[in-house]
Amino acid sequence: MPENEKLNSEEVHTEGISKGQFKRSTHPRYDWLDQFRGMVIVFLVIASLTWELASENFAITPPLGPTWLNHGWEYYDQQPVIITIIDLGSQIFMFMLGISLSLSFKSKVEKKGLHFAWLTVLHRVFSFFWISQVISVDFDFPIFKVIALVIWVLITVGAAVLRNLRKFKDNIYRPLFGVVWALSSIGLWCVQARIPKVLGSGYFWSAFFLEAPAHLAWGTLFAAVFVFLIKKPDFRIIIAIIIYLGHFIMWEFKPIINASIQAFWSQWDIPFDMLAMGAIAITATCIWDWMQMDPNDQIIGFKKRVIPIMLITGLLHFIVDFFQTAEHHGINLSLGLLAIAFSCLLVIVFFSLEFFYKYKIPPLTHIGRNALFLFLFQGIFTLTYPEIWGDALAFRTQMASLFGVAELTHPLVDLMGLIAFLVPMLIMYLVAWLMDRYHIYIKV
Amino acid sequence: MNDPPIKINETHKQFHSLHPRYRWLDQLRGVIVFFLLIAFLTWQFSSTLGLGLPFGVPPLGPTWMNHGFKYSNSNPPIITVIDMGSSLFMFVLGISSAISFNSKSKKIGLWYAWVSGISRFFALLWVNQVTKIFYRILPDWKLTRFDVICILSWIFITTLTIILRITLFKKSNEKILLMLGWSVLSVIIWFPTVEENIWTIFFNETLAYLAWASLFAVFFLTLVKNPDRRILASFGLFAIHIGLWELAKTKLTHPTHWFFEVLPGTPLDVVGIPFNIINMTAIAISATCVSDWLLKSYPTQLDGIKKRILPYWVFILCFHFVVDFLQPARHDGITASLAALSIFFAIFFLIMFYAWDTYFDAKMPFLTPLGRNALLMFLLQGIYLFFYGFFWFNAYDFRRRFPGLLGNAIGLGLFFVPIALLICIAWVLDRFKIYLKF
Repeated sequence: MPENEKLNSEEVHTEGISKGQFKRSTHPRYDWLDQFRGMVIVFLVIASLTWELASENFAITPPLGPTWLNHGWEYYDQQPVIITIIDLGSQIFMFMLGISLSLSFKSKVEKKGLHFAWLTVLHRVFSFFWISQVISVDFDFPIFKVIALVIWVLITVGAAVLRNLRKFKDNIYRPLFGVVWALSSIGLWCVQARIPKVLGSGYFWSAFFLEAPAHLAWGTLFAAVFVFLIKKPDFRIIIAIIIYLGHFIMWEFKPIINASIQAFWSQWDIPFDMLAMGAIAITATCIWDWMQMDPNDQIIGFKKRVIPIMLITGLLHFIVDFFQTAEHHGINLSLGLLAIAFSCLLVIVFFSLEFFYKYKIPPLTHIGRNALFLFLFQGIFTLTYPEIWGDALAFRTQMASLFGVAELTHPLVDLMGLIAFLVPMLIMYLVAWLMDRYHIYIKV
Repeated sequence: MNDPPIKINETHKQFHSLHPRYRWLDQLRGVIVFFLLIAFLTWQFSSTLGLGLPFGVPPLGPTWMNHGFKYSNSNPPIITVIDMGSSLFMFVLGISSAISFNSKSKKIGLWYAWVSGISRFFALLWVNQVTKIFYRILPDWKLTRFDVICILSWIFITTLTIILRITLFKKSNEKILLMLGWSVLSVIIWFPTVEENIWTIFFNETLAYLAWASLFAVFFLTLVKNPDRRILASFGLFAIHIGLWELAKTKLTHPTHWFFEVLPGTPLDVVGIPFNIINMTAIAISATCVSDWLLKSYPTQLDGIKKRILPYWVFILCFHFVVDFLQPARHDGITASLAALSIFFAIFFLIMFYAWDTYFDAKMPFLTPLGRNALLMFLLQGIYLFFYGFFWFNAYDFRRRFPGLLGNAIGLGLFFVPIALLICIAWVLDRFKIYLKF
């Protein structure tokens, strides 16, 4: 490649973004990363829908939507389950968060200091723990829960107002409001879940170790700690390898180790997913740093590290899978390696799309810019759809009777299935577009 | 960024080719051959879970590298990248066909390009016959007298062709006619030894799909020069397929047997709608368009990628998503949904390997030699399938003999040895510039 065409990481790739649009960000905004985020969110939405409209009995009715866009185990439950791209969703999301963390942490340390960077990390970590509590909430409203929720609303409004006061806008302690808000939210959510329940049962394990957002929280924390402690990615990657080696060995002796743990804490297990997500996030931070190996030419990093890492993890996945078959429930080494290999592949493809081909997949940037919000927003559909249709059979039966047809696989029924998928996706896109239009970005 | 120079490792004369050899295309071919090899192995050691048998055991190898229908006993079965193997191969063949056809017709003439295309068609049909005979005679190694006569005749014709090719026709363009004669005669000579009916040999096997689709690709390349218009033929075929499939669905449980209902008890009752040929042709035509957009239609390759290939890539995924609701992707009959998904993945790999080669100057080790002899490697894999079949029929057979950790380790070895051996063969052939091409 000619000298003048080298890819400089300092060139901010924010084509088409108005001045000041991301003025709160301390680092440049990368379009390829937004596109990558957007794609993951689209897949997550589809995954929620194929989940809700899956088939419970194939002899009676097929599910709705493309088969390969289902969770393997939800599509057909057997041992071992088949793995699809959808099963890798949260791991790829973790990988993306790892990349973003490495990018923003260093930039914040450089521009606003170490404590600012750490406060933002803690804000994100505690927010994920709070989200983890939110998604496992019971929908009943006794008086103490209502009081807790009202207090939470007041705290949230207060924190939002304080954060946006001109006085604090450029203050380096601004993220402190976020940390306090997230901690208060966690506390209040423990209250609404009833303190005795929190202390006496598996609530703590579930909210802080078992749920997907809790994994994201731990992964983020792991990534930040090791980005801070080990500057060189060539050394940092060793931590990920050690975690995975430990994971591999413990997985082999799972029953014995779990029995020992449960002798003390009955509801607890080895936190396999937390460890695996930590390793994925650390690897992602390394990938980002390797991409900056030569700040004047990012291709060097791709050639020397990113592509080889992709090939090695792909090969290792193939080998390890013979011994520890990839599973959706419990991110084992095989699944983790596959997720890393696939994420690297997507990074390469999206990077190429932006830098070499100068091409953007139309709606992805808008979605990617509010990835976290839309990740949560799609929960609306996962909550509402089951209230209307329990599964594919319920949907097909209702639609067949609506059109007065006997066949559950009648083209009209299939067409309604398509609409049931397209409507939420269009709403999501509309929300994303509007938020992007008015520069509203929800970030933690 | 300007259009970077195309990387061609060695001069194309070394590959006995009229056109340049693209490294990204060899890598693309290589990865598809690699996936096909994995598919052969996972097929041999697949689980019986998908068959609904009571003695289900886990398969050998990663679950996502199995055929979906062998994995889940569901209707529709789940689709994996392995289910798209032959469709992806068709796409690559379509790209190669376009490159070679354009080059031959420009440098020598249209007649030469056409004769070459027809030779390939007959050669693929002949290979299909050979595989049938191979499976018939190998279990007990018994050849009838008639088989021996046919094989000896074929050896005589082949030897004569080779001698003529390297002597009288060495520097003559008419040597392509010699190849055509050889391929036609091969089909004629081997035909009586095949037990299967005409439909199975010429219309209902993977190699037959490849043969027909390659021929139609050449036909449409001649007929519609502009890829922007030619792509409409691809969508026309998809529309025809969708319509026929929908009609067939209401007639019978298995759509490819539609004509069984129409003409039962007649000699034509072996004939069905060539569903797979229709969609394989649609894939091949799409591939020729992608090839022309990239290499021919625009002043720079980047223009072609940006203005046509990438928009088409996004569009074809959306098309798959929509059509899949009405006609789910299936392995046993290439529906429009499966064909569209295959085109999507093929372009995904194409843009990836193109970027690797052109911008990152990187390549996956071993893929280039595999890709340069893609067709031979594709055929060689069948040998493993056959020999492994002597020992184990499926994962259950294997795991009964080799349970536990030892079984996993031996299983890994059974996957690695054929892969390594195939890579060695490909490397040696590439080292000595031996390429099997039609």
